[in-house]
Formats: sequence, structure tokens, C-alpha cells
Amino acid sequence: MTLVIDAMGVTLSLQAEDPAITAALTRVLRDLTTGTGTVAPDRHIAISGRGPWQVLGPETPQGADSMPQALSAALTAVNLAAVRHTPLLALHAAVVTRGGRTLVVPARSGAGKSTLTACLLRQGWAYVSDEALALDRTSGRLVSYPRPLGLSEWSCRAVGDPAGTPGEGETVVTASDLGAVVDWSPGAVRYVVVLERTGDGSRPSTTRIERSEALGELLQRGFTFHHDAAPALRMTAEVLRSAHTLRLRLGDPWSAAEHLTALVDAG
Amino acid sequence: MGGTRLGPPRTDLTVVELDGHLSVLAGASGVVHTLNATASAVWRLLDGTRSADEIVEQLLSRYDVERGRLLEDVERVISDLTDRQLLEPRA
Repeated sequence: MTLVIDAMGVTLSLQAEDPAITAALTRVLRDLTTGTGTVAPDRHIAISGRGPWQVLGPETPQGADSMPQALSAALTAVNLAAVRHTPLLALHAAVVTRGGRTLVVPARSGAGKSTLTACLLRQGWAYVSDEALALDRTSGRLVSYPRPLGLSEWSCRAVGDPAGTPGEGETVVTASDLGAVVDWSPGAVRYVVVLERTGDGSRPSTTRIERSEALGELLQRGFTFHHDAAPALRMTAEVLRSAHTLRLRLGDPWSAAEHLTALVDAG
Repeated sequence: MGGTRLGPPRTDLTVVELDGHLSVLAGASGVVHTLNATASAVWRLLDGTRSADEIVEQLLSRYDVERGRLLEDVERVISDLTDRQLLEPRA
């Protein structure tokens, strides 16, 4: 069985020899699955074998000795293909919405973005992406890329141990695993929150930062910013022009999510 | 530097302004330089005809700041912008 998905405007196909891998991919990629679409020759991801497995994607083939390892390798291949081929302006950030307000969290890997995102979803926010603020380069429209989140054991505990699918060193969870829905039509960005990681015991707090600082944070993590940099800079600046820009001292992620929820609900 | 006419910003740059702060994209490199308030104010006065002294005079008419300190700040900004290759060579 072939799975056809849309990832940031890139149509990809996945085909696994092992029905158990197919079942796991079908489960974790359901929010990206389109079922149809023309797939370019260099956008096929094949998972061969029934243990051990080999993931053949756009990058170097990855061997896997376990199902979790094979699943994580396949999801990495999906993301690499999406980032490489997307026609969108894609900036590394988490994006969630609540009551029509869109919140963006640019962050480097390991800053606590995924855990915070999962906590926000648990607290009633809708999911847009844990990976990219993705904008149509012509219209500026925000495009959802609700790829599954990979949560560490620590992150899972912080979120209340959601159901998920075992990956390599992570639990792969979808929005619905966290009791959340995907927002397919996110509105204009109202908040950009730059993370500052602090001790887990400290209380979360937010301070206002200059929009130019938030712009620098977003562009530093631009997957595709350099493809057409001048219009991309202008578009990103436009996104920020009507946004509140904040620095969040993270502390405990669940409390930080509650803090952001209260802040956004207060308007 | 004080009385020498300063080069204007390069013409191949893209500049955006957010809350009075300028961010400058250097065309070929793809690097974005974020300017602080002082650097942004100096940048706006760099038209290829002014010297650092003249820029200081312009800023003194707007801000309550001591001349010597302002001249130091302006010269530091010019030096920084020059190092980042954001200005045309001096005329």
C-alpha cells in the first residue's frame, strides 16, 4: 500500500514492505495524508525489509534494527524531503492557534519547543505545526504542516503521558493523541514568543522584546529563507508588524503553557 | 573620520523597518543585519553627502545627548557598518 501525503506543499509517497510499518505510518501521518496526487520521481520514500529495515529516501539510505528506529528514520526522511522541496517560505518554529489567534514559537532544537507545543495542545490550543511557520510566497497565507511531534520520555511525562507510537528515543504523537485538532486555516500571527530556557522549577514569565529581535530569531532559523531572500525578508517583517513579540522564560513547560494561555485569553 | 564625506548604503541591500529599527539584508550573502536604535538613526542620514560631524549635528538637534559621546557612538556605528560591507566606498 502506498501512502501519499502533502508536507508543506510537497507531495510525497511512502511505501513499506512491512505491513506493521505501513500501519504505524498510516497512523502517525494521518493529518498529512491526501490519498491522491502526482508524485515526482525523487519524492518517493521506500521502507524495505521486515526487520531489519532500510529507509530509502532523498538522503543516504538509513538502516534500522527496530520498528521504532525505522519509524523515526521514515519521518526524518519525510521532513528532509519537505524542507528541501517546499515552495513555501518555511521558518523553523512551532505554530498553534486559539480562538483565531495564532502564536508562533521560533526555537532551536532542544530549546523546549515541542514540549511547550504539546502542553499547549493539551490545554485546548489547535495545531498548525511543530516544525515550520510556512507562508505562501505570493499571498503570505499561513500553511499548516501538522507533522507528528516526537516527544522524549521527559516531555511525555510533562504532558501527562499521551498515547502515541514508539519511535527511536521518542514517542511519536499526533494532535489527536493530545486531544487537539488541526487548524487548517490559521489566521494572522498575533504572537511571536522567543524561548529562553531556565531551570525547570522557575516560574514562567514573559517580557516584551523588539519586533526586530523576533525577526532575527525567525530568520536565523529559516529553512528556505535564502531561496529568495529579499521578498522573504519583507514578508516576514509584514507578519511581525501586527504581532506582539515576547520573550518567554520557560521554566516548567506545563506552567508556561498555562501562562501563555492566560495571556492570550486576556487579549 | 569626523569631516570626511561618508559613503551611502550599498544599493543592492534590502531594508525593512520595524518599530524604528532597521534590518538590512546584504544581497549576495543572505545575511540579515539588525541595527540598534543609534545605528538605525545614523543609517537614515547616510546619503553619500554627509560626514560623521554633520550626522552628529543632525542627531544633536533631535536628541539630548553630549556631543563627544555622540561622536564616539556615530564613529563606532560607521566603523561597524563599514566592517560589515554595507556602505559604498567613501567618496
